[in-house]
Amino acid sequence: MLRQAWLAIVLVVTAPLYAQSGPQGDTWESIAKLPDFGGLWEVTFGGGPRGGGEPASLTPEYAAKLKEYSQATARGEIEDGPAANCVPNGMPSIMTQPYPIEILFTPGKVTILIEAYAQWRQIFTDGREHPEDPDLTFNGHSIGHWEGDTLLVDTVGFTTDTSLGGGGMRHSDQMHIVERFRLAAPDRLEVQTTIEDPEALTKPFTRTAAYGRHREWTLAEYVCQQNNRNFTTDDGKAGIDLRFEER
Amino acid sequence: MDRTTNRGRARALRHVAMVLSGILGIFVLGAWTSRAEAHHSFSVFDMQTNKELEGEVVELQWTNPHIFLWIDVANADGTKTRWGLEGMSPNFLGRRGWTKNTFRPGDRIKVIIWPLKSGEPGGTLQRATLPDGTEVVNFGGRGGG
Repeated sequence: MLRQAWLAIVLVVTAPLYAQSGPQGDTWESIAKLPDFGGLWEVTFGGGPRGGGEPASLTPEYAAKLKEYSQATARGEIEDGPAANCVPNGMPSIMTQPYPIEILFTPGKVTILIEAYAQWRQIFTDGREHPEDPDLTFNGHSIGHWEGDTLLVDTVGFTTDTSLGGGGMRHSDQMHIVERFRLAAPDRLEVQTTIEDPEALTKPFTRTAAYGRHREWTLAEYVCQQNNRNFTTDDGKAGIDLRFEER
Repeated sequence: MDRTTNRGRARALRHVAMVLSGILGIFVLGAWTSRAEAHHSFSVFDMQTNKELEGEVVELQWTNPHIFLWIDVANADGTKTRWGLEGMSPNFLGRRGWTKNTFRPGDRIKVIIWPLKSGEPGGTLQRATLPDGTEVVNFGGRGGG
């Protein structure tokens, strides 16, 4: 009898712990305790991924691809890439476009709206795993969890149509990206991005992007095909269409 | 709301954008032109040449991924040439004081552009002087695209 009473007390006392044992961000109540990522974020320039940092250490095969591309660029044979034809950049470059992003929390999911090319990413924070054999996409399949005030995002499943930063630096479909999102200051979001790729990189490649907060901004439409007069030909030549047509 | 009031407000915003661009413009371009990850490269433009044109606005196309400003420029022989000038996006410029009415058909303006290397009548709009004398700057502030 006494033992049963003790058990009942233990259960009652510890029940709140069990109630909170789901992943952080899994309920509206736990979302309320997350850091404030509200407003729009625009990548800042003069630092982060665009400046400094140790360069990626490429495997011989991928170093050769980059060299070939760089030489073709220097000879004037390659002038531009697929983005001029409105093809979105894909991960990781889509995160550092010169357009704002918005980060939304709903139970079990973080959604990143990316103005550039009207893209989005969904990051499942409900405890699920990646699919065993994910489809290969521009932005990959993302799962995440919170470690204190830092959101850790793990992404796999990338198409090789996209590049790893500059046009000539390629990645394989084995690319694996880990991002750490945290507020470095009240209005400054830092995202540390670590990229692994057993085929393309000899060691992980890390860079940090900083974003400034703009609470007063709202996302704007970005339909790249609306009036895109820039183009890249299949063999990499850049051009511009100057035919006037009143709109 | 009448056009003059709108213009007055826009002028103040433009001034801020202009000052910002002076400070930050160099960093923006440095970051941009060294990478192909924004919308397009600048390989078709001659960024070493600042070409000045004076003409009459035909149309401002307030569109993505870039605005296009079309102006007619008079030639010495009395004919006109229509120039197509690419700017940033409505998203970028709209956050920095520009509107779809910053240029109106018939406005006499001066522009400074990076001309096309091909010699065709087109280029990248850098800055423009509006009929009332205010200057607007295309790379006004941070970012680009």
